[in-house]
Amino acid sequence: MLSPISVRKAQVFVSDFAFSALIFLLLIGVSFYMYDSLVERKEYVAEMQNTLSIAEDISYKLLKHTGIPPNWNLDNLQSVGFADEENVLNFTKLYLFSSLPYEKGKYLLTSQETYEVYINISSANELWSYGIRPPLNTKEIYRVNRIGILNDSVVLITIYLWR
Amino acid sequence: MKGMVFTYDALIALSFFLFFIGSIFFIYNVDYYDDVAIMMGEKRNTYLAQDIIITLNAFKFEMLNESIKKNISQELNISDDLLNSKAISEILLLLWVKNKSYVIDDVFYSLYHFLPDIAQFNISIITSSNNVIISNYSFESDVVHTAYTYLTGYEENQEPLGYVAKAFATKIQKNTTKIYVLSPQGAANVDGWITITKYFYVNSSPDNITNAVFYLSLHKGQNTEDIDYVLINGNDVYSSVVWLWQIDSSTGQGAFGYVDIMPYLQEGWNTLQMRFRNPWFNAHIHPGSRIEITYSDDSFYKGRKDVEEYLYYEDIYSQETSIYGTGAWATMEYSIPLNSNINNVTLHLSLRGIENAGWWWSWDDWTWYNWDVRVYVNGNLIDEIRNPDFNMDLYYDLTPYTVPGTNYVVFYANTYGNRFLGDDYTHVYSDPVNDPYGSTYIYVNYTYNDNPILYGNIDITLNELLGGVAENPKSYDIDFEGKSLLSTYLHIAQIFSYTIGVDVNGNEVFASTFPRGIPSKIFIDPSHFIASGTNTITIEDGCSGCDYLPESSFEYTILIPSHVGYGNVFPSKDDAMRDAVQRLRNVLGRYVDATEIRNETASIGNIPYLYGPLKLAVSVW
Repeated sequence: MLSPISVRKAQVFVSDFAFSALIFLLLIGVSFYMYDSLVERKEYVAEMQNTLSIAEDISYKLLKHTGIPPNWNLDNLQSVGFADEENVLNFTKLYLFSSLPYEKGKYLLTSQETYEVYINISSANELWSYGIRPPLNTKEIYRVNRIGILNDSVVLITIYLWR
Repeated sequence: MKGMVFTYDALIALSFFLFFIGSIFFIYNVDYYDDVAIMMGEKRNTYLAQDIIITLNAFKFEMLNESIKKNISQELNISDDLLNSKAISEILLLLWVKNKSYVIDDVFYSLYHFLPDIAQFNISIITSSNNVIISNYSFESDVVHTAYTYLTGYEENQEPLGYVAKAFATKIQKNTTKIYVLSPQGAANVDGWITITKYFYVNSSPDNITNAVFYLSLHKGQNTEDIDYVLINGNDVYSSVVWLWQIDSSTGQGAFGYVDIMPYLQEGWNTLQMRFRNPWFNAHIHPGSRIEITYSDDSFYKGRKDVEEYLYYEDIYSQETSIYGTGAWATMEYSIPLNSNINNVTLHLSLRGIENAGWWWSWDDWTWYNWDVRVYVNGNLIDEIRNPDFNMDLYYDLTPYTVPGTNYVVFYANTYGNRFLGDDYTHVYSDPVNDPYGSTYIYVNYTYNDNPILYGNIDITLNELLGGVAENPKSYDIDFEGKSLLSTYLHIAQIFSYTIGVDVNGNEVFASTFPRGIPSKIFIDPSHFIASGTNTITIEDGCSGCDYLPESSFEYTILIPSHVGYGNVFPSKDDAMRDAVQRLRNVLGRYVDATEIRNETASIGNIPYLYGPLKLAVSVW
């Protein structure tokens, strides 16, 4: 039997609803946080892979590519390369290249302006280097080691890349 | 009613929520940063392993410092100038071969001294049996990146330095034999004449022919005039025939002889034509009739994977002279190698002058027949024609009846046994020179399963008479001295024949399927023979008086390489070249004369190794 209209009450707030709303809001919050975090990780991985790709490209130029034209000089250089044959470096080309301004040389090596690069070639002693040394307080420096031959010595080539 | 805080719905929702949160934290705690670093580290190690291998191959002995070079020279007891052009990878292999592995560390570290600061590594040499022979360190990681270089093999205790040479025969002279067979065929009856014409192609100038003999094996009359002529390109050689066997019987004379036809041959198409009769029975050819031509040639072997050939019958013109009728019958064999696929075999019969003989009695089979033409393949009757046309072109697909090995086709036209039912003439038409597709032939097409295209070889066909005496059974021994066999045939010569069985080294390779079904040429697949050692061929006829003549022969084609590879190491180029030429002449043997030889020499520095290969592996982790 219905109550008289005068004594019926409307429902504004119940505990079930409150609890459900709380859970919902928490889920939304966590989801946003997770999304943000995963995007950040994804961007990090992409950047690391991009860095790796650039470093591979630099090492390719050093060890596998003669450059275009093969006997390039600073006047006719189209694409830089330092190899006489696979993994054998041409010191004359390294010497020529090191006379280039850093920004230009960096761009020829990385095709980027946002990265910094430092290359060191050494055996028992340092034989050649190019670029600016990595600052100590830089968070992410990517390093690649390769091995080649320069001036009748087996040399270690270290390439540093950072932003 | 009061509202409830902890309903079952809420509890279920809470548990889902906690599960979801827990999963998120679990996934979140996976360290992507470390995974990326590991991935990059592995890629770096892969590059290092590859770089080490490449630089080991690129760095030369002469680029080492003097003390290291001196150490290596002393240990190997080899002077510097012989080592200078060698790559370090080869030097490491030499040190291992000479049991100087303790020097390898010194050499390697002198070059890659910086390596231990950036990675762990390992060097090993792996033989073709895949066993690790030498290793500096044991593996200490589950993830190892390895790069390899192949070095051609090396025989221990062999002086590694000096010169090696190989030799190629670029021009040759060889004596080879070609045999043109006349299969058993006939038959002019009693006083009728049979004219048999054979066209054969000689692929050689007469100046290069060293021997040419026509062997005749005939069943003819007993008198000299029973042979009208034997013409070679129009030249009558009958009077020059040397008869080796002449056996008279109640059915005429079985005769076997030979005649030298070399003076009459020409390059290209040649014609043999003979006309003879047998007043006692029917004139026909027995097993053993063939032309053998030996000539000098300078060709190399040109193998074919797909083989197509037309085997032409002789033109047989069987003429009735009086009242005894006429007819024609012929046999032809064709062969299919065992390791091949039969594509198509077609028989084309071009018959002229065929009579409708109606019903006739066969004394041989003791029955009545009313056929006029019959065709058999390997003893199977495949067609029987009654009411024939006077001139007929008949085509038969023999593919379903064809077997690997020797196949045998026989047809009878207006004759069978001692019955001759034709009138005036019976003609088996064949003129491959002017009318190849209108002639009587068997077309054979098969494809080898293995690839017989053996470039760089020389093919030589030899034919050896079985010799000895006329006997049944008859055996023949032959040793191929390790030569590769391309094909082998037995040529049977008999005065009289019935059935034949052939075995090689005790295994039956052929047996005739019906009486008088004797092919003149029997194919024996080379796989039945052994390359080195004595092979015994035995032939036996079912009729005790049917001896095999010593003029039966065995034809075989061998393949000889036209080049030799690198041999032993010699201190000088000339010595190496002389050795290569001698080895080539030994391989060519008595069969081939190399009229032009090309040498290639190599110093050990360029092509140092003769056997192998080995793998030099560098592992980095």
